[in-house]
Amino acid sequence: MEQVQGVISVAGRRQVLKPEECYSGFKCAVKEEDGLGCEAGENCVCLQFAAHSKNESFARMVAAAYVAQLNPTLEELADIKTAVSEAVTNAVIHGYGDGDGVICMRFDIAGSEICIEVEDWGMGIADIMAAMEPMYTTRPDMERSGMGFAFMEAFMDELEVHSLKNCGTFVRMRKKIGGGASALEGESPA
Amino acid sequence: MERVLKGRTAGYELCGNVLVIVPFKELDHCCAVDVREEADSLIEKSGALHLLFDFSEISFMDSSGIGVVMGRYKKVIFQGGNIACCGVGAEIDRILTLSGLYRIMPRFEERREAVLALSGRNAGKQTEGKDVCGEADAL
Repeated sequence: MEQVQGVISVAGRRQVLKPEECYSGFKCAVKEEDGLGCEAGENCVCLQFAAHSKNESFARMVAAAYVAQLNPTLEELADIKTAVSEAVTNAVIHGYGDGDGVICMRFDIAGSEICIEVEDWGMGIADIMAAMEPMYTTRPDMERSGMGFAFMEAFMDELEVHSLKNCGTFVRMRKKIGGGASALEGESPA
Repeated sequence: MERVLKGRTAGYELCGNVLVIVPFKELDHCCAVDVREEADSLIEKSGALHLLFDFSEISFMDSSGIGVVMGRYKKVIFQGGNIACCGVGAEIDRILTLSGLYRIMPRFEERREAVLALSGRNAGKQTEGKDVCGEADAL
């Protein structure tokens, strides 16, 4: 049987995860799901939507609306929208190859850190390390730039990618919000 | 072609031998497909040599937009054309910087100066002030 594989990237440094550290919630491996499937789950949001490219803008707008409770700066908001857009686009075109499918997205907040998970039950990634290399793409025919994971890495503090071939891909991203000036409050007084 | 055209997700304007592409919807994978099709057919129909991406109408772009720019660059570079961009806001600037696209696509503040710089390279006659498209208002 195929083994689930995982890679974590913190501040741009990538490391392969041990099998026991990898995501074990893929539908094909786990029959029952309890709750929303969130880790902490106090103010968790979980939504499922069709893997259609029109839903990419929906996904990033929901992400922006959810993170608003942390009072992000405009820059942080843009970072999160881009990262979510990349993750969802990957699921749509690589996970399901532009065919039918369902994407599950979860948001959670712990302190001032937002955690976003994007999961698909598509074809999975053969080699995660290769896929995470900038400019690497399996779909040059679609004019993919191969910058998806690079943008997720650059715009979020932490990125985890777990995948099981022919079963699915699970992406978890974390980002600490705060420190800069808030988008709503404008520049903080000097 | 008409000098000014409005597509599904972007506007287009022909300024001499420069085709100006003005995306007006968020440039993600969904819209990238439209822009790619429309731009390619217009490049062929109009015989434009250079491309100018005017990002002043959009506030969001992801790696799909990078793909669109790179794809169009590959198309015009072989016929001796160049690309440039203008109207770059803070969000788009981060994406362009991170992706390294400025190495192949110089950035200008105004559309007018970008059109002049592009067409000036190998079409001296057309830059005599006449028909150099100015502002975005035509779109």
